[in-house]
Amino acid sequence: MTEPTPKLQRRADALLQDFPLPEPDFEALAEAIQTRVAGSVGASRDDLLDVPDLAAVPGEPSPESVRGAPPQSSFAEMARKSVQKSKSDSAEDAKELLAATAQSRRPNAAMVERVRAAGRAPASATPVPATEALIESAPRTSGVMARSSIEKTRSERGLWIGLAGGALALAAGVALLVGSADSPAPATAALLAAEKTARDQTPSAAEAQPAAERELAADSGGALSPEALAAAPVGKAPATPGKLASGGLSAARGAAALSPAPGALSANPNAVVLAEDPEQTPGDSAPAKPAPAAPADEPKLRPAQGGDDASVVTTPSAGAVSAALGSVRGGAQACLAGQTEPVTAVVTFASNGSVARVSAGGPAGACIQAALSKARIQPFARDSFSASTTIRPP
Amino acid sequence: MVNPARQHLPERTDRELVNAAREGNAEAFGLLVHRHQRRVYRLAVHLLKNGAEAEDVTQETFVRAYGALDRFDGRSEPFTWIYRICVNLSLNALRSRKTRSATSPDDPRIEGLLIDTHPSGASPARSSADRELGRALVEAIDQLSDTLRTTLVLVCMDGLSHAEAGVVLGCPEGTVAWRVHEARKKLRLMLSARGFEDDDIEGKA
Repeated sequence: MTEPTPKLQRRADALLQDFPLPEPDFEALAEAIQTRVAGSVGASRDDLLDVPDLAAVPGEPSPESVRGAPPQSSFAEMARKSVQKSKSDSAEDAKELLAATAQSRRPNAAMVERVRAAGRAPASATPVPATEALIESAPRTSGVMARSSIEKTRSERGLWIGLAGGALALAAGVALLVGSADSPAPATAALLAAEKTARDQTPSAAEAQPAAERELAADSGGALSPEALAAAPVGKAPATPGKLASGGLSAARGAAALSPAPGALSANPNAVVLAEDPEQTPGDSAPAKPAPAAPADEPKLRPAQGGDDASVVTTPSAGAVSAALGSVRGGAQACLAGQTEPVTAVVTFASNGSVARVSAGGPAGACIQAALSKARIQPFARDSFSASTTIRPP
Repeated sequence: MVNPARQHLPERTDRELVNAAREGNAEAFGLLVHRHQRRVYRLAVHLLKNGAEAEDVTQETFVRAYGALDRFDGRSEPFTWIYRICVNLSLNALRSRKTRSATSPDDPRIEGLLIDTHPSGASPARSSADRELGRALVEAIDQLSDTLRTTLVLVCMDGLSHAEAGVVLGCPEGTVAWRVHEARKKLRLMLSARGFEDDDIEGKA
């Protein structure tokens, strides 16, 4: 049964429902959004529309148990959970089942026997009540066999099975003794000869496997390249590096070298916002219509300049851009000394990593432009890349 | 001369605005932004505890939403779809932080508490007590796990129904209800541990 919703202090509840927050200039924010939207092309390729990757809270009911009917502690529910959960959970469920049974009614011999037979709990885990012998001696009307009669039936069955097994073993021993004295049967000899021929003509599977691996390693220069990894089927890109399985880390790195991490946002408090298409300005852009995700919409890539292709990323990572802007943010903030309003600046990086253009408004715009122009990031393959950042007064 | 396509935009539903934006009506999308940016910003502030980052996430949320308009299938309300993007962006930002500091000095929530210390008719002592309670509440919320905090913010602070929050978070209503219950229970315990007793509990007052 669900407990009633915990009451908070009245004022705390009121605060939760209407928390006072200083609000930014929403008009300016909307304008900035419209500006960026007008300059954006192409459909979103990231996974931000997927279900948020939030870990289940310990003790949280499973989705199946809360979907449809309200959660309740029933034997059927526990049995379902024991089937769905992992092995360790199954042991917990078995204990829970037995505990619930003990609470609701005293365990009888048949139930204990069933648990034992199912192998859900060790035989010694459930003590049989001392009064059970008395109960077993009484005649049963429910159709459930008493413990003593079950054991009697089992012992008789075991005797017959043991006798049959002994007879079979004796017969097999006699057959082996007789067979070893004679030469191999013609059919067996033919089979052995055929097997030997096959072994001589083809390498075994154990030998073939390393050969294939050697060939792959030779093709990739002794190590698996990101291209080779990218060609392999890869699942959904992980939302966070911490989520990567150890075996998939190198694959993810290879994929990250080829494309920016979807949904990545700046880490530090002065976060930057990355734009996919910096070259289009609101003035020269087409009407704001989201273009379909077609290959033709992909920005053209050009070869890297003065370096091997593997070291040049398509677009700079959010972390790199954030770090670069963070290194010059202090200078930009100094431009706003004495002011109270923050300024949003859009920094456009050229493919060689230097700042190609900075747009920042307000009286300190020129000063901010000069400060942010000193930022530098690693070269990348696209023609240019822009990021917007909010500069707040120091 | 008023463009007929722009007429009656304010009366249109979110779905109609999304459809219009898909067809290239930038003003329709602008209206969506105006309708929801405040709530998206508040959601981001409570998740990120930082005003500048919340502004950036708000901006990015709508830009990404615009880029993904073609992927909106219409099965849910557009605002739940926008919220989901905001939650994902906020979680990404939170997880990429090197340190998960507690309350930062420029936490807009603390600033908001300072602004709201003089409600009409309240004594200074009461205002001070309220401010302390607010600060304790903020710190208690920050101690919740991402899952509980996100659910609490969506339901208790932003007023989404369990069903709507379930759509945003991709989980059943029952799970949302359980998380809200759990979060409130933890908040109550943490507030009690800070000396805020139950003398003012709703229903008794």
